[in-house]
Amino acid sequence: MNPHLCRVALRPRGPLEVFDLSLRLIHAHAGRFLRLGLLFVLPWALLGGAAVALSELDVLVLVLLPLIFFPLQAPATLLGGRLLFADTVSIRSVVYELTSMLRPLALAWAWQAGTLSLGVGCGLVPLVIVLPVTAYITETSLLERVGAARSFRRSARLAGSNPGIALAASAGWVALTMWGALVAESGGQALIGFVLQLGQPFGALSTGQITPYMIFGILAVQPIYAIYRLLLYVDVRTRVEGWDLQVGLRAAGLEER
Amino acid sequence: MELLDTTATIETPERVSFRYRLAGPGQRSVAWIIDLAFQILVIALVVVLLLPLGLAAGLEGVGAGLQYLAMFVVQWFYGVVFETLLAGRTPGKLLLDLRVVRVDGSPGRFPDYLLRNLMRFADFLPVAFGIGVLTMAMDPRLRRLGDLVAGTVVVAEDKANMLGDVVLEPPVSEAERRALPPRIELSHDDLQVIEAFLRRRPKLSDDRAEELARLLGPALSERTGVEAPSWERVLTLAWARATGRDRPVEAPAPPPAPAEPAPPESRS
Repeated sequence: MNPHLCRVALRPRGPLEVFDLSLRLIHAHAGRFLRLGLLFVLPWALLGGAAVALSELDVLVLVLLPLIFFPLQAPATLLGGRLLFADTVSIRSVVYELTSMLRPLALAWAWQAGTLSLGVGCGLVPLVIVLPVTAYITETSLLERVGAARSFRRSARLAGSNPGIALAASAGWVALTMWGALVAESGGQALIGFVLQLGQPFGALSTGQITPYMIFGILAVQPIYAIYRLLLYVDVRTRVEGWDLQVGLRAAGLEER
Repeated sequence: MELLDTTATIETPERVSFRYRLAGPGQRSVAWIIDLAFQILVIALVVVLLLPLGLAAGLEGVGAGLQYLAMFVVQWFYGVVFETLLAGRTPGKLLLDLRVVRVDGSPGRFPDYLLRNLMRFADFLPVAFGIGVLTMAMDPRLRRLGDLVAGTVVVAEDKANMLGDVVLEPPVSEAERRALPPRIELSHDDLQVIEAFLRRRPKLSDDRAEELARLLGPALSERTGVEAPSWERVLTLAWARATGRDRPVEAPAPPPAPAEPAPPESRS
Protein backbone atom coordinates (compact mmCIF):
# COMPACT_ATOMS: atom_id res chain seq x y z
CA MET A 1 0.00 0.00 0.00
CA ASN A 2 1.29 3.42 -0.91
CA PRO A 3 -0.54 6.12 1.08
CA HIS A 4 1.00 8.82 -1.09
CA LEU A 5 -0.52 7.62 -4.35
CA CYS A 6 -4.28 7.49 -4.57
CA ARG A 7 -5.61 5.07 -7.23
CA VAL A 8 -8.66 7.24 -7.81
CA ALA A 9 -8.40 10.59 -9.60
CA LEU A 10 -9.12 13.07 -6.84
CA ARG A 11 -11.11 16.15 -7.73
CA PRO A 12 -14.36 17.68 -6.52
CA ARG A 13 -17.33 15.91 -8.14
CA GLY A 14 -21.09 16.04 -7.85
CA PRO A 15 -22.90 13.33 -5.84
CA LEU A 16 -24.29 11.77 -9.02
CA GLU A 17 -20.85 11.47 -10.59
CA VAL A 18 -19.58 10.00 -7.34
CA PHE A 19 -22.14 7.21 -7.68
CA ASP A 20 -20.84 6.45 -11.18
CA LEU A 21 -17.30 6.42 -9.81
CA SER A 22 -18.32 3.97 -7.10
CA LEU A 23 -19.53 1.59 -9.80
CA ARG A 24 -16.18 1.95 -11.57
CA LEU A 25 -14.34 1.13 -8.34
CA ILE A 26 -16.51 -1.95 -7.74
CA HIS A 27 -16.07 -3.02 -11.37
CA ALA A 28 -12.28 -2.62 -11.15
CA HIS A 29 -12.18 -4.97 -8.13
CA ALA A 30 -15.27 -7.04 -8.90
CA GLY A 31 -13.76 -10.33 -7.69
CA ARG A 32 -12.85 -8.95 -4.28
CA PHE A 33 -16.20 -7.30 -3.74
CA LEU A 34 -17.97 -10.49 -4.83
CA ARG A 35 -15.99 -12.55 -2.32
CA LEU A 36 -16.71 -10.01 0.37
CA GLY A 37 -20.41 -10.12 -0.50
CA LEU A 38 -20.45 -13.93 -0.34
CA LEU A 39 -18.76 -13.79 3.05
CA PHE A 40 -20.79 -11.05 4.68
CA VAL A 41 -24.03 -10.49 2.76
CA LEU A 42 -25.07 -13.97 1.69
CA PRO A 43 -25.37 -15.50 5.20
CA TRP A 44 -27.53 -12.61 6.39
CA ALA A 45 -29.60 -12.69 3.22
CA LEU A 46 -30.22 -16.42 3.62
CA LEU A 47 -31.05 -15.99 7.28
CA GLY A 48 -33.38 -13.06 6.67
CA GLY A 49 -34.96 -14.76 3.66
CA ALA A 50 -35.55 -17.97 5.63
CA ALA A 51 -37.03 -16.05 8.56
CA VAL A 52 -39.47 -14.33 6.23
CA ALA A 53 -40.31 -17.43 4.22
CA LEU A 54 -40.69 -19.92 7.05
CA SER A 55 -42.24 -17.86 9.81
CA GLU A 56 -44.75 -15.14 10.45
CA LEU A 57 -42.00 -12.84 11.63
CA ASP A 58 -41.70 -10.85 8.42
CA VAL A 59 -42.54 -7.48 9.98
CA LEU A 60 -40.11 -8.13 12.83
CA VAL A 61 -37.39 -9.04 10.31
CA LEU A 62 -38.02 -5.81 8.43
CA VAL A 63 -37.79 -3.79 11.66
CA LEU A 64 -34.58 -5.53 12.74
CA LEU A 65 -33.02 -5.37 9.28
CA PRO A 66 -31.48 -1.87 9.71
CA LEU A 67 -29.43 -3.23 12.61
CA ILE A 68 -27.37 -5.37 10.26
CA PHE A 69 -26.84 -2.60 7.71
CA PHE A 70 -23.86 -1.30 9.69
CA PRO A 71 -21.98 -4.62 9.83
CA LEU A 72 -22.76 -5.21 6.15
CA GLN A 73 -21.45 -1.83 5.07
CA ALA A 74 -18.32 -1.72 7.24
CA PRO A 75 -16.30 -4.46 5.44
CA ALA A 76 -17.00 -2.83 2.07
CA THR A 77 -16.00 0.58 3.45
CA LEU A 78 -12.74 -0.84 4.76
CA LEU A 79 -11.98 -2.74 1.56
CA GLY A 80 -12.82 0.29 -0.57
CA GLY A 81 -10.73 2.55 1.66
CA ARG A 82 -7.71 0.26 1.33
CA LEU A 83 -8.19 -0.09 -2.43
CA LEU A 84 -7.90 3.68 -2.78
CA PHE A 85 -4.20 3.30 -2.02
CA ALA A 86 -3.40 -0.27 -3.04
CA ASP A 87 -3.85 -2.47 -6.08
CA THR A 88 -4.37 -5.65 -4.10
CA VAL A 89 -5.96 -6.10 -0.73
CA SER A 90 -6.79 -9.53 0.62
CA ILE A 91 -10.19 -10.23 2.14
CA ARG A 92 -8.41 -11.94 5.01
CA SER A 93 -6.58 -8.72 5.92
CA VAL A 94 -9.86 -6.78 5.76
CA VAL A 95 -11.54 -9.24 8.11
CA TYR A 96 -8.54 -9.15 10.47
CA GLU A 97 -8.44 -5.36 10.50
CA LEU A 98 -12.17 -5.15 11.02
CA THR A 99 -12.13 -7.46 14.01
CA SER A 100 -9.27 -5.50 15.56
CA MET A 101 -11.38 -2.33 15.34
CA LEU A 102 -14.66 -3.83 16.35
CA ARG A 103 -14.90 -2.19 19.77
CA PRO A 104 -14.43 1.48 18.74
CA LEU A 105 -16.58 0.82 15.69
CA ALA A 106 -19.41 -0.66 17.77
CA LEU A 107 -19.20 2.33 20.11
CA ALA A 108 -19.42 4.71 17.15
CA TRP A 109 -22.45 2.88 15.79
CA ALA A 110 -24.07 2.94 19.23
CA TRP A 111 -23.44 6.67 19.29
CA GLN A 112 -25.00 6.98 15.84
CA ALA A 113 -28.01 4.83 16.71
CA GLY A 114 -28.47 6.74 19.95
CA THR A 115 -28.40 10.10 18.18
CA LEU A 116 -30.84 8.93 15.53
CA SER A 117 -33.22 7.46 18.11
CA LEU A 118 -32.97 10.44 20.42
CA GLY A 119 -33.34 13.02 17.69
CA VAL A 120 -36.22 11.37 15.90
CA GLY A 121 -37.82 9.51 18.81
CA CYS A 122 -38.20 12.61 20.93
CA GLY A 123 -39.44 14.51 17.93
CA LEU A 124 -36.67 17.04 18.48
CA VAL A 125 -34.94 16.86 15.17
CA PRO A 126 -36.31 15.44 11.93
CA LEU A 127 -34.58 12.45 10.37
CA VAL A 128 -33.58 14.50 7.35
CA ILE A 129 -31.24 16.51 9.62
CA VAL A 130 -30.03 13.78 12.00
CA LEU A 131 -29.24 11.23 9.31
CA PRO A 132 -26.77 13.42 7.35
CA VAL A 133 -24.99 14.54 10.55
CA THR A 134 -24.01 10.96 11.36
CA ALA A 135 -23.50 10.01 7.70
CA TYR A 136 -19.72 9.54 7.74
CA ILE A 137 -19.32 7.94 11.16
CA THR A 138 -18.25 4.56 9.76
CA GLU A 139 -15.65 6.24 7.52
CA THR A 140 -14.22 8.42 10.28
CA SER A 141 -14.04 5.45 12.66
CA LEU A 142 -12.51 3.00 10.22
CA LEU A 143 -10.28 5.17 8.07
CA GLU A 144 -9.18 7.87 10.51
CA ARG A 145 -9.00 5.41 13.41
CA VAL A 146 -10.36 7.80 16.01
CA GLY A 147 -12.54 7.06 19.02
CA ALA A 148 -16.33 7.04 18.98
CA ALA A 149 -16.85 10.58 20.29
CA ARG A 150 -14.25 12.06 17.99
CA SER A 151 -15.51 10.18 14.95
CA PHE A 152 -18.98 11.52 15.68
CA ARG A 153 -17.66 15.08 15.89
CA ARG A 154 -15.65 14.61 12.68
CA SER A 155 -18.69 13.25 10.88
CA ALA A 156 -20.84 16.14 12.07
CA ARG A 157 -18.15 18.64 11.04
CA LEU A 158 -17.76 17.17 7.57
CA ALA A 159 -21.52 17.01 7.13
CA GLY A 160 -21.91 20.58 8.38
CA SER A 161 -19.25 21.88 6.00
CA ASN A 162 -21.15 20.53 3.02
CA PRO A 163 -24.73 19.63 3.99
CA GLY A 164 -25.78 19.02 0.39
CA ILE A 165 -23.38 16.11 -0.02
CA ALA A 166 -24.33 14.66 3.38
CA LEU A 167 -27.97 14.85 2.39
CA ALA A 168 -27.11 13.15 -0.90
CA ALA A 169 -25.50 10.35 1.11
CA SER A 170 -28.74 9.78 3.01
CA ALA A 171 -30.96 10.18 -0.05
CA GLY A 172 -28.68 7.77 -1.92
CA TRP A 173 -29.20 5.15 0.77
CA VAL A 174 -32.99 5.47 0.54
CA ALA A 175 -33.00 5.39 -3.27
CA LEU A 176 -30.55 2.50 -3.58
CA THR A 177 -32.30 0.41 -0.92
CA MET A 178 -35.68 0.92 -2.57
CA TRP A 179 -34.21 0.14 -5.98
CA GLY A 180 -32.58 -3.05 -4.65
CA ALA A 181 -35.84 -4.19 -3.05
CA LEU A 182 -37.88 -3.52 -6.20
CA VAL A 183 -35.47 -5.10 -8.67
CA ALA A 184 -34.90 -8.19 -6.53
CA GLU A 185 -38.62 -8.59 -5.93
CA SER A 186 -39.47 -8.30 -9.65
CA GLY A 187 -36.51 -10.46 -10.68
CA GLY A 188 -37.32 -13.12 -8.10
CA GLN A 189 -40.99 -13.23 -9.01
CA ALA A 190 -40.12 -13.41 -12.72
CA LEU A 191 -37.68 -16.27 -12.17
CA ILE A 192 -39.82 -18.33 -9.80
CA GLY A 193 -43.24 -17.46 -11.17
CA PHE A 194 -42.72 -17.10 -14.91
CA VAL A 195 -39.58 -19.06 -15.77
CA LEU A 196 -39.92 -21.95 -13.31
CA GLN A 197 -43.72 -21.76 -13.24
CA LEU A 198 -43.83 -22.21 -9.46
CA GLY A 199 -46.30 -19.42 -8.78
CA GLN A 200 -45.74 -17.26 -5.71
CA PRO A 201 -44.56 -19.63 -2.99
CA PHE A 202 -43.27 -16.74 -0.83
CA GLY A 203 -46.09 -14.31 -1.50
CA ALA A 204 -45.56 -11.01 -3.31
CA LEU A 205 -44.79 -7.44 -2.41
CA SER A 206 -47.73 -6.37 -4.58
CA THR A 207 -50.08 -8.14 -2.14
CA GLY A 208 -48.48 -6.41 0.85
CA GLN A 209 -46.20 -9.29 1.86
CA ILE A 210 -42.52 -9.11 2.65
CA THR A 211 -40.66 -11.62 0.52
CA PRO A 212 -37.19 -13.21 0.70
CA TYR A 213 -36.36 -11.61 -2.68
CA MET A 214 -36.96 -8.19 -1.24
CA ILE A 215 -34.83 -8.93 1.83
CA PHE A 216 -32.05 -10.18 -0.45
CA GLY A 217 -32.27 -7.05 -2.60
CA ILE A 218 -32.16 -4.71 0.38
CA LEU A 219 -29.10 -6.45 1.83
CA ALA A 220 -27.29 -6.89 -1.48
CA VAL A 221 -27.13 -3.14 -2.20
CA GLN A 222 -25.69 -2.21 1.21
CA PRO A 223 -22.02 -2.82 0.22
CA ILE A 224 -22.60 -0.79 -2.97
CA TYR A 225 -24.01 2.01 -0.87
CA ALA A 226 -21.01 1.74 1.47
CA ILE A 227 -18.65 2.37 -1.46
CA TYR A 228 -20.80 5.29 -2.63
CA ARG A 229 -20.72 6.86 0.84
CA LEU A 230 -16.98 6.24 1.12
CA LEU A 231 -16.38 8.14 -2.11
CA LEU A 232 -18.72 10.92 -0.95
CA TYR A 233 -16.60 11.13 2.18
CA VAL A 234 -13.49 11.38 0.00
CA ASP A 235 -15.22 14.02 -2.10
CA VAL A 236 -16.24 16.15 0.87
CA ARG A 237 -12.71 15.92 2.29
CA THR A 238 -11.36 16.93 -1.10
CA ARG A 239 -13.63 19.95 -1.22
CA VAL A 240 -13.33 21.08 2.37
CA GLU A 241 -9.86 19.98 3.42
CA GLY A 242 -8.06 19.78 0.09
CA TRP A 243 -7.42 16.06 0.52
CA ASP A 244 -6.29 15.77 -3.09
CA LEU A 245 -3.75 18.52 -2.40
CA GLN A 246 -2.61 16.70 0.73
CA VAL A 247 -1.92 13.52 -1.23
CA GLY A 248 -0.23 15.44 -4.06
CA LEU A 249 1.90 17.67 -1.83
CA ARG A 250 2.98 14.76 0.35
CA ALA A 251 4.02 12.77 -2.71
CA ALA A 252 5.90 15.81 -4.05
CA GLY A 253 7.55 16.33 -0.66
CA LEU A 254 8.78 12.76 -0.58
CA GLU A 255 10.05 13.11 -4.15
CA GLU A 256 12.02 16.22 -3.16
CA ARG A 257 13.70 14.35 -0.30
CA MET B 1 -0.46 4.16 -13.93
CA GLU B 2 -4.01 4.94 -15.09
CA LEU B 3 -6.04 6.42 -12.25
CA LEU B 4 -9.58 5.25 -11.74
CA ASP B 5 -11.93 7.94 -12.99
CA THR B 6 -15.24 8.48 -14.72
CA THR B 7 -13.50 9.36 -17.96
CA ALA B 8 -12.59 7.51 -21.13
CA THR B 9 -9.88 8.24 -23.65
CA ILE B 10 -10.37 8.12 -27.40
CA GLU B 11 -7.58 8.08 -29.94
CA THR B 12 -8.46 9.46 -33.35
CA PRO B 13 -7.00 8.00 -36.56
CA GLU B 14 -4.60 10.98 -36.52
CA ARG B 15 -3.33 9.65 -33.16
CA VAL B 16 -4.75 12.55 -31.24
CA SER B 17 -6.08 11.47 -27.86
CA PHE B 18 -8.83 13.23 -26.06
CA ARG B 19 -10.73 12.52 -22.92
CA TYR B 20 -14.42 12.71 -22.17
CA ARG B 21 -16.37 12.33 -18.97
CA LEU B 22 -18.72 9.36 -18.89
CA ALA B 23 -22.23 9.48 -17.53
CA GLY B 24 -23.38 6.42 -15.61
CA PRO B 25 -26.59 5.49 -13.81
CA GLY B 26 -26.17 8.24 -11.21
CA GLN B 27 -26.37 11.10 -13.67
CA ARG B 28 -28.58 9.36 -16.20
CA SER B 29 -31.24 8.37 -13.67
CA VAL B 30 -31.96 12.00 -12.87
CA ALA B 31 -32.13 12.84 -16.59
CA TRP B 32 -34.52 9.91 -17.05
CA ILE B 33 -36.78 11.11 -14.22
CA ILE B 34 -36.97 14.55 -15.85
CA ASP B 35 -37.76 12.92 -19.20
CA LEU B 36 -40.39 10.74 -17.57
CA ALA B 37 -42.07 13.80 -16.07
CA PHE B 38 -41.97 15.43 -19.50
CA GLN B 39 -43.50 12.35 -21.15
CA ILE B 40 -46.28 12.22 -18.57
CA LEU B 41 -46.97 15.86 -19.26
CA VAL B 42 -47.17 15.27 -23.01
CA ILE B 43 -49.43 12.23 -22.59
CA ALA B 44 -51.70 14.13 -20.16
CA LEU B 45 -51.92 16.96 -22.65
CA VAL B 46 -52.89 14.57 -25.43
CA VAL B 47 -55.53 12.94 -23.18
CA VAL B 48 -56.99 16.32 -22.25
CA LEU B 49 -57.15 17.31 -25.91
CA LEU B 50 -58.41 14.04 -27.40
CA LEU B 51 -60.97 12.96 -24.80
CA PRO B 52 -63.42 15.84 -25.38
CA LEU B 53 -62.85 15.49 -29.10
CA GLY B 54 -63.95 11.86 -29.05
CA LEU B 55 -66.88 12.58 -26.73
CA ALA B 56 -68.07 15.46 -28.90
CA ALA B 57 -68.00 13.28 -31.97
CA GLY B 58 -69.80 10.50 -30.10
CA LEU B 59 -66.82 8.23 -30.69
CA GLU B 60 -65.51 7.41 -27.20
CA GLY B 61 -63.67 4.38 -28.56
CA VAL B 62 -61.79 6.42 -31.14
CA GLY B 63 -60.73 8.95 -28.49
CA ALA B 64 -59.44 6.18 -26.21
CA GLY B 65 -57.70 4.50 -29.13
CA LEU B 66 -55.96 7.71 -30.06
CA GLN B 67 -54.85 8.14 -26.48
CA TYR B 68 -53.27 4.69 -26.40
CA LEU B 69 -51.65 5.42 -29.73
CA ALA B 70 -50.28 8.67 -28.33
CA MET B 71 -48.93 6.85 -25.27
CA PHE B 72 -47.25 4.28 -27.47
CA VAL B 73 -45.70 6.90 -29.73
CA VAL B 74 -44.46 9.02 -26.80
CA GLN B 75 -43.03 6.07 -24.88
CA TRP B 76 -41.23 4.53 -27.83
CA PHE B 77 -40.18 7.53 -29.87
CA TYR B 78 -39.66 10.30 -27.34
CA GLY B 79 -35.96 9.51 -27.05
CA VAL B 80 -35.43 8.95 -30.77
CA VAL B 81 -37.10 12.20 -31.79
CA PHE B 82 -35.40 14.41 -29.23
CA GLU B 83 -31.98 12.83 -29.58
CA THR B 84 -32.19 13.27 -33.36
CA LEU B 85 -33.43 16.87 -33.13
CA LEU B 86 -31.15 17.98 -30.29
CA ALA B 87 -27.99 16.18 -31.45
CA GLY B 88 -27.98 13.38 -28.90
CA ARG B 89 -29.90 15.05 -26.12
CA THR B 90 -33.36 14.76 -24.62
CA PRO B 91 -34.71 17.57 -22.41
CA GLY B 92 -33.52 15.65 -19.34
CA LYS B 93 -30.05 15.19 -20.79
CA LEU B 94 -30.01 18.82 -21.88
CA LEU B 95 -30.64 19.97 -18.31
CA LEU B 96 -27.88 17.72 -16.96
CA ASP B 97 -25.42 18.49 -19.78
CA LEU B 98 -25.39 14.91 -21.05
CA ARG B 99 -25.14 13.85 -24.67
CA VAL B 100 -25.24 10.60 -26.62
CA VAL B 101 -22.26 10.16 -28.92
CA ARG B 102 -20.76 7.23 -30.79
CA VAL B 103 -18.00 5.32 -28.98
CA ASP B 104 -15.38 6.93 -31.22
CA GLY B 105 -16.55 10.35 -30.05
CA SER B 106 -18.26 11.30 -33.31
CA PRO B 107 -21.86 12.58 -33.25
CA GLY B 108 -24.59 9.96 -33.18
CA ARG B 109 -26.89 9.37 -36.15
CA PHE B 110 -30.58 8.51 -36.47
CA PRO B 111 -30.05 4.69 -36.67
CA ASP B 112 -27.94 4.83 -33.50
CA TYR B 113 -30.59 6.75 -31.59
CA LEU B 114 -33.32 4.45 -32.90
CA LEU B 115 -31.47 1.30 -31.88
CA ARG B 116 -30.51 2.43 -28.40
CA ASN B 117 -34.04 3.63 -27.67
CA LEU B 118 -35.68 0.44 -28.95
CA MET B 119 -33.47 -1.49 -26.55
CA ARG B 120 -34.58 0.69 -23.64
CA PHE B 121 -37.39 -1.73 -22.83
CA ALA B 122 -34.94 -4.61 -22.47
CA ASP B 123 -32.80 -2.44 -20.20
CA PHE B 124 -35.81 -1.58 -18.08
CA LEU B 125 -36.46 -5.25 -17.16
CA PRO B 126 -37.44 -6.53 -14.65
CA VAL B 127 -38.22 -3.09 -13.28
CA ALA B 128 -36.51 0.28 -12.74
CA PHE B 129 -33.72 -0.41 -15.28
CA GLY B 130 -32.52 -3.46 -13.36
CA ILE B 131 -30.72 -4.99 -16.35
CA GLY B 132 -29.59 -1.58 -17.60
CA VAL B 133 -27.94 -0.63 -14.31
CA LEU B 134 -26.28 -4.03 -13.95
CA THR B 135 -24.96 -3.77 -17.52
CA MET B 136 -23.64 -0.27 -16.85
CA ALA B 137 -21.94 -1.51 -13.68
CA MET B 138 -20.15 -4.20 -15.66
CA ASP B 139 -19.10 -2.03 -18.59
CA PRO B 140 -15.97 0.14 -18.26
CA ARG B 141 -17.71 2.86 -20.28
CA LEU B 142 -20.89 2.69 -18.21
CA ARG B 143 -23.06 1.64 -21.16
CA ARG B 144 -26.45 -0.02 -20.94
CA LEU B 145 -27.58 -2.73 -23.36
CA GLY B 146 -28.98 -0.18 -25.81
CA ASP B 147 -25.65 1.64 -25.94
CA LEU B 148 -23.74 -1.59 -26.44
CA VAL B 149 -25.98 -2.59 -29.34
CA ALA B 150 -25.99 0.86 -30.98
CA GLY B 151 -22.28 1.54 -30.36
CA THR B 152 -23.01 4.70 -28.42
CA VAL B 153 -21.97 6.13 -25.09
CA VAL B 154 -23.47 8.87 -22.94
CA VAL B 155 -21.02 11.57 -21.99
CA ALA B 156 -21.20 14.49 -19.60
CA GLU B 157 -20.21 17.70 -21.28
CA ASP B 158 -17.87 19.86 -19.28
CA LYS B 159 -18.71 23.49 -19.21
CA ALA B 160 -16.00 25.36 -21.06
CA ASN B 161 -14.33 26.95 -18.06
CA MET B 162 -11.08 28.66 -18.92
CA LEU B 163 -8.86 28.71 -15.86
CA GLY B 164 -7.90 32.25 -15.00
CA ASP B 165 -4.48 33.36 -13.88
CA VAL B 166 -3.30 32.29 -10.46
CA VAL B 167 -3.66 35.24 -8.10
CA LEU B 168 -0.76 35.54 -5.68
CA GLU B 169 -1.98 37.06 -2.47
CA PRO B 170 -0.06 39.14 -1.49
CA PRO B 171 1.94 39.62 -4.70
CA VAL B 172 5.67 39.02 -4.63
CA SER B 173 7.31 42.13 -3.19
CA GLU B 174 10.49 43.70 -4.46
CA ALA B 175 12.39 42.60 -1.32
CA GLU B 176 11.20 38.99 -1.70
CA ARG B 177 12.15 39.00 -5.37
CA ARG B 178 15.67 40.16 -4.61
CA ALA B 179 16.08 37.47 -1.95
CA LEU B 180 15.01 34.67 -4.30
CA PRO B 181 17.63 32.49 -6.01
CA PRO B 182 18.15 33.54 -9.62
CA ARG B 183 16.83 30.27 -11.01
CA ILE B 184 14.54 27.62 -9.57
CA GLU B 185 13.71 24.41 -11.36
CA LEU B 186 10.58 22.54 -10.39
CA SER B 187 9.35 19.28 -11.86
CA HIS B 188 6.13 19.21 -13.86
CA ASP B 189 4.34 17.40 -11.00
CA ASP B 190 5.58 19.95 -8.44
CA LEU B 191 4.43 22.84 -10.60
CA GLN B 192 1.03 21.27 -11.06
CA VAL B 193 0.41 20.48 -7.42
CA ILE B 194 1.59 23.91 -6.22
CA GLU B 195 -0.56 25.63 -8.82
CA ALA B 196 -3.56 23.55 -7.69
CA PHE B 197 -2.77 24.54 -4.12
CA LEU B 198 -2.57 28.25 -5.00
CA ARG B 199 -5.81 28.10 -6.97
CA ARG B 200 -7.70 26.44 -4.11
CA ARG B 201 -6.04 28.54 -1.41
CA PRO B 202 -8.99 30.97 -0.97
CA LYS B 203 -11.25 28.04 -0.06
CA LEU B 204 -8.92 26.70 2.64
CA SER B 205 -8.55 28.00 6.17
CA ASP B 206 -5.19 29.58 7.06
CA ASP B 207 -4.29 26.73 9.42
CA ARG B 208 -5.18 24.06 6.89
CA ALA B 209 -3.24 25.84 4.12
CA GLU B 210 -0.13 26.00 6.29
CA GLU B 211 -0.59 22.36 7.30
CA LEU B 212 -0.72 21.37 3.64
CA ALA B 213 2.20 23.58 2.64
CA ARG B 214 4.33 21.98 5.36
CA LEU B 215 4.17 18.68 3.47
CA LEU B 216 6.33 20.06 0.65
CA GLY B 217 7.68 23.37 1.97
CA PRO B 218 10.65 22.17 4.09
CA ALA B 219 12.05 19.87 1.38
CA LEU B 220 11.56 22.54 -1.27
CA SER B 221 13.16 25.22 0.86
CA GLU B 222 16.15 23.00 1.54
CA ARG B 223 16.70 22.21 -2.14
CA THR B 224 16.03 25.61 -3.66
CA GLY B 225 17.14 27.88 -0.84
CA VAL B 226 13.87 29.81 -0.79
CA GLU B 227 13.16 31.21 2.64
CA ALA B 228 10.00 32.85 3.89
CA PRO B 229 8.11 33.38 7.16
CA SER B 230 5.63 30.58 6.35
CA TRP B 231 5.73 27.33 4.36
CA GLU B 232 2.83 28.57 2.29
CA ARG B 233 4.93 31.56 1.26
CA VAL B 234 7.86 29.27 0.42
CA LEU B 235 5.64 27.40 -2.03
CA THR B 236 4.26 30.63 -3.45
CA LEU B 237 7.69 32.20 -3.99
CA ALA B 238 9.27 29.07 -5.44
CA TRP B 239 6.38 28.63 -7.88
CA ALA B 240 6.42 32.32 -8.79
CA ARG B 241 10.15 32.28 -9.57
CA ALA B 242 10.00 28.99 -11.47
CA THR B 243 7.18 30.22 -13.68
CA GLY B 244 8.38 33.80 -14.02
CA ARG B 245 5.37 35.12 -12.13
CA ASP B 246 7.56 36.98 -9.64
CA ARG B 247 8.09 39.85 -12.01
CA PRO B 248 6.13 43.00 -11.29
CA VAL B 249 2.94 43.15 -13.23
CA GLU B 250 3.26 45.85 -15.80
CA ALA B 251 0.62 48.47 -15.54
CA PRO B 252 -1.50 48.52 -18.68
CA ALA B 253 -0.31 51.16 -21.08
CA PRO B 254 -2.52 54.23 -21.06
CA PRO B 255 -4.73 54.50 -24.12
CA PRO B 256 -3.14 56.62 -26.80
CA ALA B 257 -4.18 60.22 -26.66
CA PRO B 258 -6.52 61.17 -29.48
CA ALA B 259 -4.49 62.47 -32.31
CA GLU B 260 -4.80 66.16 -32.76
CA PRO B 261 -6.15 67.09 -36.12
CA ALA B 262 -3.33 67.97 -38.41
CA PRO B 263 -3.20 71.62 -39.22
CA PRO B 264 -4.50 72.28 -42.64
CA GLU B 265 -1.74 72.41 -45.06
CA SER B 266 -1.22 75.88 -46.22
CA ARG B 267 -1.01 76.23 -49.82
CA SER B 268 0.82 79.05 -51.16
